[in-house]
Amino acid sequence: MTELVEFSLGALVLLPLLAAAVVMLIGHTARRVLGVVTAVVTAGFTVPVVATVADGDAPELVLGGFTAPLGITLRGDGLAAVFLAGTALIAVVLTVFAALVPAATGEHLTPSGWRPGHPGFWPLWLGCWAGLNGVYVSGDLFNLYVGLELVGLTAVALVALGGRKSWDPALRYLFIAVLGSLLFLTGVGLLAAVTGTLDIAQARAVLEEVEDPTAGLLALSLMTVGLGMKIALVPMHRWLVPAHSAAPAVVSPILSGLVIKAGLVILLRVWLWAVPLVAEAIWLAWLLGALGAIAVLVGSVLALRQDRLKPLVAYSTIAQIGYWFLAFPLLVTEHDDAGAAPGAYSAIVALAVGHMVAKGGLFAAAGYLKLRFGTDEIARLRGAGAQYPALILAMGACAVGLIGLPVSLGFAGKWQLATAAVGAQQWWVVVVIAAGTLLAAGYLLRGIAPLLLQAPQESDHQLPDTGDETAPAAAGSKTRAEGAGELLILLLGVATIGTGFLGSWIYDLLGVGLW
Amino acid sequence: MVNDLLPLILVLLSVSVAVVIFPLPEQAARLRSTVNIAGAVTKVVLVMLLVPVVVAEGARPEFSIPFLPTGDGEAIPLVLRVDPLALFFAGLSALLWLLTTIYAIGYLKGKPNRSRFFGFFSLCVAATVGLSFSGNLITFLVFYELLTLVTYPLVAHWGDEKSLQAAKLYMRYALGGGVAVLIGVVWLTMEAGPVDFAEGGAADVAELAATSPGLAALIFVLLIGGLGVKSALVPLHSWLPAAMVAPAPVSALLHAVAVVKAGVFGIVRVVDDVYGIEVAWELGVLTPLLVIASFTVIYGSYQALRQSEIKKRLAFSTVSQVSYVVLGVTMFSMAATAGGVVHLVHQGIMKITLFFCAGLFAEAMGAHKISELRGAGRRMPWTSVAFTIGAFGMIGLPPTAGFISKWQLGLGALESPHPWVLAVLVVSSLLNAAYFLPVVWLIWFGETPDPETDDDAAGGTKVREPAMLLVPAVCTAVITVGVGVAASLTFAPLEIARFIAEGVFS
Repeated sequence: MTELVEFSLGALVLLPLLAAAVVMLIGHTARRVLGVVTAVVTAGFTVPVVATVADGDAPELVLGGFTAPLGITLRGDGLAAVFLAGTALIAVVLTVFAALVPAATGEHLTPSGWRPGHPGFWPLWLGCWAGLNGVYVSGDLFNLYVGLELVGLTAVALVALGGRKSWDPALRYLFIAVLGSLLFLTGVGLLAAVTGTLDIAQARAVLEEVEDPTAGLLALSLMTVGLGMKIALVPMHRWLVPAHSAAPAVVSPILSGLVIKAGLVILLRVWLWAVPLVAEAIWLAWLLGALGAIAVLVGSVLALRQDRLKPLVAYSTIAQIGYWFLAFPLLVTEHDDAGAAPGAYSAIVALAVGHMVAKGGLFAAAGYLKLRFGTDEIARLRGAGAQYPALILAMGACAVGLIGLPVSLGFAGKWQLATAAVGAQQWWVVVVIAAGTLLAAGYLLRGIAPLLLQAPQESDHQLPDTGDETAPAAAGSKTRAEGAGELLILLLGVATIGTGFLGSWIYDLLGVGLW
Repeated sequence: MVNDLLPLILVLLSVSVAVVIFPLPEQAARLRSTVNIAGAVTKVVLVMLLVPVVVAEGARPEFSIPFLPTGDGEAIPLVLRVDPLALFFAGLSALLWLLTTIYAIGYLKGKPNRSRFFGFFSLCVAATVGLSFSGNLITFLVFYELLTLVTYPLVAHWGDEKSLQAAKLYMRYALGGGVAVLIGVVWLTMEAGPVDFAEGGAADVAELAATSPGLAALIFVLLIGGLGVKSALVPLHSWLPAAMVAPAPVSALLHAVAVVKAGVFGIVRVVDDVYGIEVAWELGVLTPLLVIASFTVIYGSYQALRQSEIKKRLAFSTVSQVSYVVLGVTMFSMAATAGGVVHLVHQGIMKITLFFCAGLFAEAMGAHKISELRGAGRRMPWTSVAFTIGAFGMIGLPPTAGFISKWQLGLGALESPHPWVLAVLVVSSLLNAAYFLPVVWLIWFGETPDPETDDDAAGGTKVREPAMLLVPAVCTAVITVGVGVAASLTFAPLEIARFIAEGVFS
């Protein structure tokens, strides 16, 4: 059993990476098959790891037999397990969706013009997944950086699959991604210089001995700013909306659901594991909290003002990111007091994983609608619900998670955040949560309700003017595969509700391998 | 043991009906109706089975799973527990769901989007049953919010601008209220720990009220303010008349079984089972609530008087009637509590009769305005009889259910510290009579429009009353009289309400 678990830990990172390499060598249809097989097997490797962590053990794999600081250690603790499981769910669903609806992977240029579907999606996406898993299980700072870089660069390339219009946003994203990584790397270098090790646990042990906290604090600040850029915390959020809305239908959910979570996981690793919390770091936590509050409010208000579905969903991501940072001041105060089981930490994870599922579903639905109708203008999508009832149901269920209504992880997360805030007497947090919840209901209703309207008499939605007979038509010509694709999106909607019952299980899981 | 699973089964039953119905094609009307009615009948039977177990044997079937983590390692569970009050409410919703389902099948015959409608319809009932069985505040909150969500597509069912606007207004009010309840629950949980519903109030809350009464009162205000939205306490009521654009069965459900009832049921729970009536009385929060409820009773009636549309008048009548329940539980006397609780059921039965009839008038005669009901008695005799019984019930004439409620409430007012409530009851009954009797008069004695001068009117000719719509209306009308006549039998609503009230004051 232990061997299987250790093997799984390695395979989670290496298998998708290997598949990404192999997939480049084979034909287009074979890519789809191999992609799905890889996804299912990788998700299968998640099971033993999560099961072991649920039993209370944190498995470790020491690569090549060299222990840190020389070698590389992979660790599966509670945080890793929760994110591995969430990612596996979303990744499998989206992979199968991409295989069923190739047009969702972007468009590529042929001598005869732009064609739907981009075969480059497969190696990039599998590479991205390898990077994500690497980030989750990395036990040392340098591998965190490598994983982050892998995720960031593949994500930029994935955005660029969306054809001409997506190249500008992709380029903007690239600048931010590289700058963010550089800042993070500088922080890592600083820590390595002070502590002489890249292993997270060892670095922490050394830092706790060091009297002067300045170096640790500087590294912490650098890494936080770098990661803040990658996560798109206000005011470093400007790149996210164009990139996420210009990306192809199946890429947007990957970016919004998964990619930014890599930054969050690293941020948690840095704040809670690598650098011991010092009193001097409190101001930084408060700054993050304040920015988080601004993000929740500003993101929501901007989402309310969008006329197109995908930017609306993208601004909603900005707002949801805010909640994670909102919890940071509580994280620090709680940790200071007792070091007891921290509700704020669990709240961040519940909110992030809830967002993963719900936003994955909502963005996939929005992208799919855009694909079918050739537009995502809300006014022109009137009455789309009649043709896509499963899709609308899925969007509704995902909206439940994003608003934070029961039953969903969004609710469990907001509950924990609110109780932590009340416990710490931070009433402003509760006010922000309440305002954010109502605003979220407002903008999601604005985005989804028109789809429920009766379709206007004259059919005024246009087909995408690619002049291509395989281009998706607005109605009636749904293939069987696309019908199945819709059901997959519905599956994410159902998962949004279903995971809502896991709040307390996740909390227990997170207790494994805590700092 | 099996009993412990029953509450879960009852909730899941409606959910699975929804799951089966959603993917059904529009044309599969027969299959859909069979599933619907089979589900509804099973539900009624299961609830009936629970009655002797819970009321006579005193068992409290309970099902729970861990749900939300707390700091000290013990998770707050989702609890479904059957106590008499829960059963009372669940029984009402099970019975009325059956009748409303039959009615809705007839009403929506040949109209689009029926699979969607019945799917959400079932989810709505699942939420209501879950709400009634909720054993703690968290569970209640979960189902309370679920109810908001699943009724939204029902209110917006017709899919035109007007429906969507009404649904949006409803959503705003309901979510705003939901957030208030959520904050209240979070706060209370932090101060007093996770609160289990208990007869006579939760001990932790009583302790909190003793140590910091101001805080306890503030949380009470938050909770009741949030619940007051759904129960349409003035000034939080405007969504209800607007939501009348929904299909008639939805209005029936909204007003009689689910949404509005969920609000008042929540208020009853908070007053009696969270704070406990003694504690609430000592906190001094009952009297202000009583005053608000009294105002709502009078104001709702006054507004109803001013409406010329049938459904609008009925909507304001609901605003007024539902507050009787609040009136009952805040008067601080055992008889009044029994009166309030029994009105929970009585109002449901009477109001659903009226809505069924309003839908019938609209469908068969095209009558939406009160003036169009002129001479309906001759054209649609059965419907008119049922409507008249419902209206008499609302006024509180014997031997209807409404009389029992008002009598009990009046008794309660006299033995309570607030005898002036009796005046509220009298004024309200007069207003009820003022807005219902003219309608009844018009139906039976109004001159039929002359077919020669008015092309649209069909004259005094009889109109066919669709059986699927008529049978439920007549059933509820019969029950309205039945529970009035047989009020003192064992297991009659009044007896169970008295039993519950004794528990509250024990």
